[in-house]
Order: sequence, then structure tokens, then C-alpha cells
Amino acid sequence: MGKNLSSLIEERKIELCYSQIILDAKTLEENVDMLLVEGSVSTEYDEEILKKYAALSKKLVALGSCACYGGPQAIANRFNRRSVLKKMFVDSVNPRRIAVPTVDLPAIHEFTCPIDAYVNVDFYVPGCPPEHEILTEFITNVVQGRRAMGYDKVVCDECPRERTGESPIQIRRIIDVAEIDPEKCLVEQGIICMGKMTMSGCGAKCPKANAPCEGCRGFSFILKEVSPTDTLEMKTLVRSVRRHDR
Amino acid sequence: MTQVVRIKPVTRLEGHAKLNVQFDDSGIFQKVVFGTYEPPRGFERIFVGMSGEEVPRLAAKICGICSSAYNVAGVQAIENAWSFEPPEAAKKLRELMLLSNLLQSHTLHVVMLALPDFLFQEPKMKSIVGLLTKDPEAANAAIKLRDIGQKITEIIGGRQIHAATVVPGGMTKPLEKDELERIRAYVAEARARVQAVKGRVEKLLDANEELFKKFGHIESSFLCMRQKHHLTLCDADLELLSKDGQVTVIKPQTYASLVKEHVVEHSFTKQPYLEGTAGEDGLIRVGPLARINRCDWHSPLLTKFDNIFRRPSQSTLAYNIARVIELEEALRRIEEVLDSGIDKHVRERVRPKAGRGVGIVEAPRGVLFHQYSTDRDGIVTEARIIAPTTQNALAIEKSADAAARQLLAGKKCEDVTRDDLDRIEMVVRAYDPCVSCSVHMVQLEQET
Repeated sequence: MGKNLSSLIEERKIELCYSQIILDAKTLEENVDMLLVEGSVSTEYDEEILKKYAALSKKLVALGSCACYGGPQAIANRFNRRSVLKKMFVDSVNPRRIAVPTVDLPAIHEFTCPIDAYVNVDFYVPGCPPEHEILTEFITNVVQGRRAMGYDKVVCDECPRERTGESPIQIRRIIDVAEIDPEKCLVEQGIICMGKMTMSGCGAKCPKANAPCEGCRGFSFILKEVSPTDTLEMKTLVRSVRRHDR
Repeated sequence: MTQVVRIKPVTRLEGHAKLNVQFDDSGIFQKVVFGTYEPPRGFERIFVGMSGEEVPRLAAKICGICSSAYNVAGVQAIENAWSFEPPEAAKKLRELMLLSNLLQSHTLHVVMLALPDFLFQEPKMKSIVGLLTKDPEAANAAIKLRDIGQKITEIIGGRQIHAATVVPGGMTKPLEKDELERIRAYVAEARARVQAVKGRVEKLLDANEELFKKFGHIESSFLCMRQKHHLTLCDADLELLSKDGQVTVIKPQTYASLVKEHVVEHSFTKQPYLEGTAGEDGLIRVGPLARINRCDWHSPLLTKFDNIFRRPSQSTLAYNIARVIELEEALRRIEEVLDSGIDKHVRERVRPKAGRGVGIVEAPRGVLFHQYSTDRDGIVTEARIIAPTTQNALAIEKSADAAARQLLAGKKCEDVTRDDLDRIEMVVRAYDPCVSCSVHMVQLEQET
């Protein structure tokens, strides 16, 4: 919690009702105006509590890239969950030979999914983590009844690096590059940078720090225009994963 | 029939944890069970097949609070696997990132999560929101300190959380002169705020000395990085301090072979223990208390700590005081690193090779261990991570149990109050557990 958020609380513009990490309330019982959900859904418990609390809220916000897209843990969807768990618990150095723990614990879903696989989401605030300026702006907009902002650009549009439009001669691993030119486009230097397809809003912080964009804010919606087939395939894939999980 | 009083979720900590307070059929207290119910995310599996240079940034995502610790431990392990020694300046920048990370993490815990337990009775007040109404100066000092910690991380890492600049070979950007001056200004600004926090905590310590000394007290060994003449968070061997006061040096490379783990039925977090060196039960604790028990630098608060707790201290709640001592020392160390001079040579080309490497740092919560193997192209073939909270898991359960024993002696199950339960949680909180990080510790062979 930063100064901006605490000011909103001090000025009584917002009231925090439930937050495991900040408050002592063990459950959310009352109706609220807005629920900000972090993280993805991986267990029966996650699903149950998400659905229960979503029903208590007028608006639902997916906060951060895990809630919006599934996050790094969704990368593990590529592998068989049971084999991952078996290796973790059964095959580890484990003198008592207990299998996957289950006592008083929720069942683990086969796939990790973003929250909109289970509930309707009103706003998406992506980023890993979402830049605090964006979060503050978002909450302030909502409090003042203004429209939430959208992002219709890519990270490259916010990046000050110089682009000539030339394709790189070869793709290079960053560990092979002796000097990264801080002024020139990283892609044109042969370094893989995700700026071109990633949703704007972060101010291109990573390229400004001489490091490639890792795409943490997710695909930009303008990609639809760039390559409809790609997006379509992505969507089909996401949908099939979700269907499978149910 | 056994009766169980549940605390679920344990609040004011990161992640999903529960406490079950168990009573026998006549209502007499039996024991406390601590468990975590968020599933392993499979990071150790995800790393396999990725190139080594992707490790530091992805590893950072394991924890939003101690992101830099994962970032640095990850890069160290990859560089170690490739037999590469980064330039001095890069090492210094990484150390600064660990220190600024500790600054924001400790502040979050001490003021926003732990302090309200000692100040307020009513559950509704026990939070930073309560503190904002009752002691806005302390609350705002904490908000400012966290902000400063994250701004220093941003100067070096490009971002406040999940830094972008850490790569095998060094850092993608050097520290410019104006940036160095900005860090100096931040440290100067942080000093007064740390004093404000320290004043509050000292007052609480004076008023509750017995509570701090005895509540949730257990006996364990301690594991930490060998502390030099300053707060040491990286680039050193490990030390094990056993219950009888003996100190054993452990080389980073051998640590993993000493750790064994219990899988427990009621938790996704395993309970590790050290074989051989740490006494019969192998119970260890990591984190600020372990480091303070072994440090040899000086400060007035440390002297006071010594007078009250007598190092090595086994007092669980002393963790909170240890954090405040470290806040002050972290600021001093940041200045020391800045004064030592940081040149612009921060990165070199690095050639991958087949090998296995270890990276160990002191995260705010304690020793963090990373181990990666790569093939000759530098593609990860095996990953193993041991998080601080995992290493504390067994101690957390035992401390909560000890606290309950002290509180519930002579009480029946039906007489347990919300205040009793809150106090048991307070002991868990002393470890500043990060549950999301704790559900790790996987041994994976290469999949064929």
C-alpha cells in the first residue's frame, strides 16, 4: 500500500472491507462496490471463494497478470499436473513416504486458469505487478465516476529507443551481446524484445533500463488487426484449456 | 471426538495459511497444526527447457515481496553453473538491490503487519488502516520507507518490483552519478523514518519485555549467512548455530545434501530439517533472528537486544526486534557500498556450458537457495529452490503450539476466545511467513 491508496483511505473516499494481507477480517460477508482479485485459480477452494465473493461485489476487477491471463503458473498447464505433483511429493527426499497431501486441503485443478474462466470480469488491470501509477489512476477514476482508461497502443509506442525499421541480421542471446546500445531498438540489435506485441501503459520501463520487454502486460488488443489468425488460435487454445478444466 | 478450532485464513501474512487448534474429547488442548493450502505452482518444472538468461526474471515472479532476492539468487546460480564471476560493480549493484528490498519488506512487516498486534485489542483496528487513524506518523513513516526501498530498487533494476536489469553476465545498465546521488538522498531521508519506527518498537519492548522473551518460545538451531562486519546478504558461506552454541560452517555447494524433508498430510508446504548437524530433531530457524544471533556489528538497539534477550536468543517474538535492528544496519550498509565506489563496468559476455550451479542469498525472511543445472547451450535441465519460509515451516508450527500451550493451560475448548486465537497468530506472524514462496522445494529429475 502506497501513499496514494492510504490517502484515499484517510480521506474516506474508499473503505477497505477485506484483504487477507492487510486486514484481520477472516471472511467477506457484506456486499461491496468493488472486488479486486489477484492471482489465478488453481484449486477447488480458489474457485469456490472466487465465485462466492464475486457474487457480493458490484464490479469485479482482475488485478495483475495472474488474474488476467493465468500468470507463470499457467505455463505449467503444458505439463501433466499429476506428474508434477507426484515428483514434488512422492519422489522427493521424503522418509515418511506420504503421497500428495490431502487432509483438510482443497483438490488441485488439472489446469491453472485466469479468473474470467469462472466469473465475469468488469475490468482488467494487467502487469506483473501492475504499475502503481496505473492502479492509482484506475481506482481514482472509479471513485470519481470517470471512465476507466483503456490501452490501445503497444510498449514500442512508449519506448524512446530509435528505430530505423530494418530487420536484425541475426537473433542474438543477450548473454552473447558484448555491448547493448542504449539508444537503438533492441530488436534491431538482434535481441528478442516483446514490446511490439505487448499492451502499453507501463511507460516502457524495461527497455529504458536497457533490458528487453518480457511482455508481462499481455498481448495488445491491436494485435487483432495485425494478425487475426494468431489471435484466433490463441483464443481457441485458451477456450479449449478452460473447457477441459471444467 | 477430537474438537478443532480453526483459524483460516491466518491474516496479515502473504498467501493462504491455516492453523488448527486441536482438543481431545474432554476438551483439553492437545496441539496446533500449521498448514498451507495454496498449491505448488510448479516453477521448478517451468524452468526446465528455458534458457539460463530467462531464469532471474522468471524466478523473481515467485515472490512479489522479496522479488530481488529471487532475482539475485537465480542469476548467481546460473552464473555459478557456467563458472562465471560477474564484475565487481555488478555484484555491488545486486547487493544494493537486496538491501533496498529488505528495507521495504521489513518495514511492511514490522509496521503494517506486526505492530498492530501490540497496539490494539479490537480486531477491526489491527491493521495499517487502524494505525493510520491512531498513529498516522508511524503509519506514514512506514509508507514512505517502503516507497524509498522500492525507488532504490527501481533506480538499479528499472522497476520497483521484478527488476529487469539482472542478467547472467552482470547488469544491463550501470549506476549513473546522478542516480547514486539520488540513492544517497533517499537513504538520508529514510534515516529519520527508521528512527520513528524504532522509537515505537522500543517502547513496546520496554512495556512487554516478558511477552517478547517468553511467548511462543522454542529451542532450535539457527541457519544464516556468515555475517561479516556488516549486514551480509550475499557472497558468503553459511553458518549453522546449534542449540548448544556450536557453530559449523556450511559451504553453499553442500547445503542441499544436508536438507531432508517431511511431507505432512495437512499442508502443501513440506517441513524440512537438517540431518546430523542440527541436533536430534534437525529443527532450524532462518531469518532476521538467526542473522542477529550471529552478527558482530554494533548499534545501541543491538546492545539493548543483548541485555534483554542474551544472544543467541531463542525468543520467537525477538524476530520483530531483529528486523528493526536490520532496518538501521541496512541503511548504513547501503551507504558503505555507495562509498566503496561503483564503476561502470557492469556486464561481460558469458558463455554457457553444461554444469550445475548454486546461488544463495539472505532474503528478508532468511536463507534462500537456488540450484540449476544446464546443458552445454545453457538450457535449464533441473531446478531446485528452497525458500526461507519452507525452512521455517516446522518452527512456525512448534512456536504456535508453544504459544497455545501457554495461553490455553487449564482452558476448555469452548472457553477459547478470539483474543487467544489472535495471539497464536501473532507468533506465526513473527516469522513474517511468505506462504506463496513456501510451497516449493521440489526435486526434479530431468524428464525424458
